[in-house]
Amino acid sequence: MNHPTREEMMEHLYGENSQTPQRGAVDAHLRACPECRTQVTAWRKTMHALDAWRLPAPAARPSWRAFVPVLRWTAAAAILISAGFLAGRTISPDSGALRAALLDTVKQEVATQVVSAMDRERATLATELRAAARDSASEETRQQLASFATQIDERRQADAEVYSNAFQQLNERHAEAVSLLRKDLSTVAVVADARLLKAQEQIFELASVQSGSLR
Amino acid sequence: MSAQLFKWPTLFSSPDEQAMWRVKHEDDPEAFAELVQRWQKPIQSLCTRMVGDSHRGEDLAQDTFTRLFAKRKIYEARSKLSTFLWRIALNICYDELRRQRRRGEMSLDEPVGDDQSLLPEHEAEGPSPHQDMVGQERAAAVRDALQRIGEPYRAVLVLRHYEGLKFREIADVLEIPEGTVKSRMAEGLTQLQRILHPFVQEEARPRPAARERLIV
Repeated sequence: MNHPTREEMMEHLYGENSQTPQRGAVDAHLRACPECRTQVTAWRKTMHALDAWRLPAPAARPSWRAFVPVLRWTAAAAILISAGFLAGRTISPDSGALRAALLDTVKQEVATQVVSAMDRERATLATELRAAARDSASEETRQQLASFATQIDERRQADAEVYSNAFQQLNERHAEAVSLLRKDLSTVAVVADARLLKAQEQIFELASVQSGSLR
Repeated sequence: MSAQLFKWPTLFSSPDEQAMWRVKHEDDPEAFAELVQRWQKPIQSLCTRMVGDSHRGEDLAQDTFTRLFAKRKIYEARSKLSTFLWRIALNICYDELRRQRRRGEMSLDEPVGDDQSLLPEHEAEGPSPHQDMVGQERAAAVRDALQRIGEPYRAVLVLRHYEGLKFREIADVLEIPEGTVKSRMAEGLTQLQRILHPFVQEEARPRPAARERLIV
């Protein structure tokens, strides 16, 4: 008998094979195989045991924070109203009128303060988030500038190498040309010297021939 | 114009991805608050179950959202935000567990965490004090048992059993093959079965409260 794999069993236990033909095959196998049935039952019990650990719903932190000033002002309003009520009951002869006047004033005061407190909270949160965003953006810019500077340095170094090579080659060619020129000049000098000597000899010969004929 | 065209893909993505797009490109605080509100509960639940302590879980969830904001620029809209977020949360939990091990806080023989994270199993039915106590005991046993199995198995178990992710999704989060996820799940359940054996056996027997009711 071919037992289903543990992976197939897991799919089966969590209902992830419900759209596949394997579901029926695993069901049929479990009906026929006591060994696999025992294993699956044990896993099911463990899964059921896991459900014993339930977590309380977490407090929604941002909304809770946003309501802190409201709660504070509500508590303050309650205290003020109670104090006003008590004072009205004990001191004033016209407690009804005083109570109404005090209540209206307190209500207006509390409403104004609650609105301003909430505005302040909102503004602080926005500023903090903006500052965080700015920090992150400037960090990115710094990194990009650093990488740009590195690239420029690398390119400058490569250019300097190219220029140095070219200069060296030019220098070599120049030296070669100078030596060739020097050789040519010395050859010209030697030839000119020889021709000059020859010309002198010819002049002397001519002079001697002329003096002989005159005589 | 090009900026307008660039926004078009976000129209076809889920609200999470749309909100994250606004956080990434416009640093929109309202969109970020929307994400936190939507994901705070599952992320806190994952962290609490991974470290076995609701207060630490709360702190780690907060760290997760801080890191999400810090990493907003590297988020790619092609991948699901949930996958990105689960991965960040798990990495933060692993870091915390590593720190705990270094400090020598964890001991396999001692119970971990706090009792405030424990709710009895049958709270909706208005449990008797006895049932309440039994429920708390079982919850504590499960919490401690989860802390005693290896982190790779615990992560898979928590994501599949408590957070309801499919095996395919867990494979994406952990960047491992789906078959490996399933085999880790089987191994994790088997290890828990051994640790929780006494409680599972006790559960199978009739409960004392039920017996008492029969006698009365």
